[in-house]
Amino acid sequence: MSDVEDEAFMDNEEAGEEHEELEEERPKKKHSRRHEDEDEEEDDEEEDDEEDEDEDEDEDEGEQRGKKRAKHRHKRPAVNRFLDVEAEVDEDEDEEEDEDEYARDEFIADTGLEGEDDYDMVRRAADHARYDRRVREMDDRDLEQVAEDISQRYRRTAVRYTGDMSDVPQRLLMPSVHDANLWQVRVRPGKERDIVFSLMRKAIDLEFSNRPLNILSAFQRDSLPGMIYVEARSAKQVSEAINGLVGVFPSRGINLVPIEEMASLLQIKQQELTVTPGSWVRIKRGKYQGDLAQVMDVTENGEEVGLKFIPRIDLNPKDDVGLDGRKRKKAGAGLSSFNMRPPQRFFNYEEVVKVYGRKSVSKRNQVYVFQNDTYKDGFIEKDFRLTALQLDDVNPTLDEITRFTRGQDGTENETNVDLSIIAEASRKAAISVLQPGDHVEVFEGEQSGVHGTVHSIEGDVVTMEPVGVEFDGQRIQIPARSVRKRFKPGDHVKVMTGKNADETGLVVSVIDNVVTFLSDMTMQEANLREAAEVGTGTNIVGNYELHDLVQIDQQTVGVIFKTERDSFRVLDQNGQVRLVQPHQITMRRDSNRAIATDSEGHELRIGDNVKEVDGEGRKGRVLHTHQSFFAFLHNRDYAENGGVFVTRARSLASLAPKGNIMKLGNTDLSKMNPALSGGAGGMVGSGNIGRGPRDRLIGVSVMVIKGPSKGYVGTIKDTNGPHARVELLTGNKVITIDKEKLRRRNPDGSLEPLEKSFTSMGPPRSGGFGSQTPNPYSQGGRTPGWGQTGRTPNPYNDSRTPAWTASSRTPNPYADHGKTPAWDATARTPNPYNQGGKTPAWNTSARTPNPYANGGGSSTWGGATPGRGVNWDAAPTPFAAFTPGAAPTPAPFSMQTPFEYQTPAGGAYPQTPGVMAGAYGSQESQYEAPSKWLLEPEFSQKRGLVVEVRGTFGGGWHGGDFEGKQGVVLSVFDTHNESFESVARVRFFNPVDPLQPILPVPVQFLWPVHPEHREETVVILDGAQKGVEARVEAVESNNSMVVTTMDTFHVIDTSPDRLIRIHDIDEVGNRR
Amino acid sequence: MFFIKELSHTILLHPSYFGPRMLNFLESKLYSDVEGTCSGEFGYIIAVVSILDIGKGMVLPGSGQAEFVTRYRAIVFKPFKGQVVDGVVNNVTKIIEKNTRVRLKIVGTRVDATEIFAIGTIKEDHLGVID
Repeated sequence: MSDVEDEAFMDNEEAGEEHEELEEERPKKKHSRRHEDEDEEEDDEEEDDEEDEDEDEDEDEGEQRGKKRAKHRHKRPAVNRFLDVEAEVDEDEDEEEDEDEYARDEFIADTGLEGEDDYDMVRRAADHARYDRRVREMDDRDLEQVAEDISQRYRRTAVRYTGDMSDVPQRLLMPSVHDANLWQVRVRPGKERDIVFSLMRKAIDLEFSNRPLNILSAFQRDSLPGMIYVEARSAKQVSEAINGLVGVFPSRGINLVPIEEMASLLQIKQQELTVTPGSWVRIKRGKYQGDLAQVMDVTENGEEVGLKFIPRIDLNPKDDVGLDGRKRKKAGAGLSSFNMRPPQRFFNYEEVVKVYGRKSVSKRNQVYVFQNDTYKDGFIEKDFRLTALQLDDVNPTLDEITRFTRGQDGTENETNVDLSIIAEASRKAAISVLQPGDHVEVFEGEQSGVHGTVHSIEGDVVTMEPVGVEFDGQRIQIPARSVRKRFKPGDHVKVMTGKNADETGLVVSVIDNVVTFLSDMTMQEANLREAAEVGTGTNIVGNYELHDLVQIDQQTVGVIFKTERDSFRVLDQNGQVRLVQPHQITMRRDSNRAIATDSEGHELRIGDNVKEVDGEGRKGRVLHTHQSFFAFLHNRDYAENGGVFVTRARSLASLAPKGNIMKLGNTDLSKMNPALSGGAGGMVGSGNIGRGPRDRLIGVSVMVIKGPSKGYVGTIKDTNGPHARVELLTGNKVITIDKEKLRRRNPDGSLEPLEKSFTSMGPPRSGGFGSQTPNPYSQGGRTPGWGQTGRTPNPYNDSRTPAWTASSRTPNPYADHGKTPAWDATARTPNPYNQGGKTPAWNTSARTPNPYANGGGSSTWGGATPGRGVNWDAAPTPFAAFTPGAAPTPAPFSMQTPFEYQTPAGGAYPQTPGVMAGAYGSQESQYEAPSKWLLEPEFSQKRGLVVEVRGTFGGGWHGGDFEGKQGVVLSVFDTHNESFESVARVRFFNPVDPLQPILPVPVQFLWPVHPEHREETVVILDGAQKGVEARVEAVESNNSMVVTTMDTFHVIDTSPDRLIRIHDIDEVGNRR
Repeated sequence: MFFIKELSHTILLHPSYFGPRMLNFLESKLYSDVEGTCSGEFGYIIAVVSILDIGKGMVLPGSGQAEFVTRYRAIVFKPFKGQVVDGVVNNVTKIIEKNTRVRLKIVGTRVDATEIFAIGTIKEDHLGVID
């Protein structure tokens, strides 16, 4: 690089202005610059200090200052950059020297310590000298050297580049507080990778949008299921990023990963996977899942390995295999239900040909090709990807390996088998099995035949105390592999390894080193050579036990019939056997409460001994029932599936003697007595209540009276506690709203409270029994006894209720033996609901004004909904009291008859009316005067009846201003015409307007005021003495009064409800 | 070996069974519940000999069911190692015919919570098929 070039280079770097100066006015500039430089020098010092300080100050300082700084920036970078460029190239030392020189030159020039001429001279001389030297050097060196230099130069840069990277200490690469944080996010297990990918797609998608994701990275570790990690500055950015992704659970927290743990999350564990020909692997997936295979060869890239293993060829294909055997086979494999997988069996040409046809198998050299797979010596040889193989924890069992070694025809071929693995494994097992105190015997070596107890174990050496005369307290040390557990007949053992691994059983005999035991499960004998463990074998793996009913997936349940080391054999309800790991089981099911019936309709319970009535006629004990349809039975006599089999519950019959079935012993005394729970139509509350009827409010037309939807009309679709879901008529929208904010909307548009108004809902909605029967109980507060605002005694609680006290007079059917009629009356009692149509009273109810129907229009019996949850046993009693009033009395009371007849209680003893007929006079009952009672001849002529105004709200008489006011009737004007209101002139005690104390009031709003005290003058409202004036002699209680009629001096015991106060008044209503 | 043992059993009775025949219910329930069952501790309960005390029914809060702790005396059978028993062949693996009567000596037992298994031998003097 020449000086000229350098200079030109430098010049280019300088600003245009300065460029000119340099070219044209150099001397001048130099001069002026010197001055400037002097200033600058001072500035420089200042600035250097300041630069160290806060840079913000720069902004605060004046423009001038900014200018100066700008100039500096011009200069300095020029030099620096120059240095940088050179530094990067990093030439020979000579050159570096040159650079230094040059750089010094430049600085010298800058500082301008010499005169300008001197400076120029010196500089040029130096330049020339350097140039000359270089040319000389170039000449001195030969071309080879040059080439060498160049190559060295090139190499060195490259080397230094990587060197730079690796030179950074690992410590400095570690994240610090200044770096973005790592956030752990919970996700659905198994979806981690997908979610990371969706995050990536999302990031790419939004990269150039208004709101790009602010996360830096995201990753997931296979070793940490259920979580992904996102790198971001804040949790908010993370939550924004994961927002909307399915399978992410931000609700479970976005947790900050501590800085010190960040690195370890990303550490990759070096896996040394050595796959060498001859080693053993297991196949992870597919038809051969779990099968042992031997590595034959490995591809160069190590991705695939050639394996040899025992094939599983389905020799009983379901379909007719002929032409397209391969296709069918494929389809079968596609199902991949490995419970269907055929057993391991060596490839046998004849067998396969027999099943699949001659065409399907071709032979090349020593190798058969069948369904694209190669078979040699009975083994299948197939290439597998390394990822599909399990390389560690292979633990081949002796059994498996012997199958390999034995080969197809049973001939031993020892080649290629590494027995050391097994030897190692079994030795470990031998040691791990032994415990101090175990009874062992020595089976090899000098001490062979000695037996005793283990005293201690140190590593591979077992110290044992032999039993026998000649030993007498000695202890001998034996290698662990030379001893084995000693078994005696009758011991309960569990097999550790081998074909019968994990089976438990009782030892039948011990001959040499072979133990014969009787398996607990299959009750078959098996021989053992392997180490076995004494002790109670548990049949519990995880939380599951043998013969548990377990849920495998949504559709499948099964019974565990065999437990293995860490898996189960499960027989599912379809009769298929599955190998199931504990984690594949969703839950254990409890079928104790499951109900199923056998072929005769009897309840099938767990533990019953039953027999199939069709099919194979198998017998067994019921283990479980499922969905009332499947029954899992167990019978030890069947070897298959551990004696467990599944059948349809409907095809079973109890093995117990026939007569026994309904005998007591068989019934469950902790449940409802079936003898009682049957029949009895009235037993509504017992069994059917379970789910409960649907809410009465559903389907009701309502109007919203509060809230944003106020004024909207809709239909209640569902209710939930205090809330209702209302489908609005407008907008076809369903809203959830407090019931409080709803009012029932009647067809005429009027509104009324939601809850109370079901009585006036019009025709009963739900069908079924008795829907037309007025049910007094469902009236709740409307039952006369209830409805009288406390003045009427509560017949249910009060012992003075006629029904109770009058039991001598009224035959109370419930009194005898405390039996409620529902119990034994089931057969005899005419079901009131069934004969509702026949009840005469029902038919007459149409023309008879129902006294209850006119109480402000809200107490119609007819609208009653069927009794729900009514306890018929207890409730009916009071209704006996109603009966009496019924039959004999004309007019108002006759309408109680229908009511009485329709109640179940009435139905229970139809003779009641007759009995009660004569007893009326002294009977009391809840009474309410009929509407327009004032028009009745007995009362219309009376003056001074004390009345109260009621029912004017809504109805409109003076807008309810007079509601609750009391007054005396001066006269009654009966129009005898429906179109003109009959009115009564009433003098109010406390008139609203003092100037108008007397007003005509429509008679329907006037109601009797009942007496409360002794000596009040009253008029009897109903009964034989109706209209007769009387005086209250005594107040027994608030529902019973003794009155004496004024003229005949009859003494009558009645309730105040049947009485009305009357005042002796003058012409204008003043009391005399 | 057979024993006579005093045992107790708890019966839950639904209120619908309360009444004059309650004792009948309880007794038959007891018989059906315990006879033929096996507990690992006492062995098989062969028969209830007598009911010592049917118990006072205690009404359980909540369900209304009554709980009776019944004490009774029962014949129980528990096999022991070394015991010689007579039996009938039920399941055959070897030479003997089904339903033959055999005398055997128990060499080992396995006791589960609800079952007892025993292994016996007939390979000794005076053991084997009896007629």
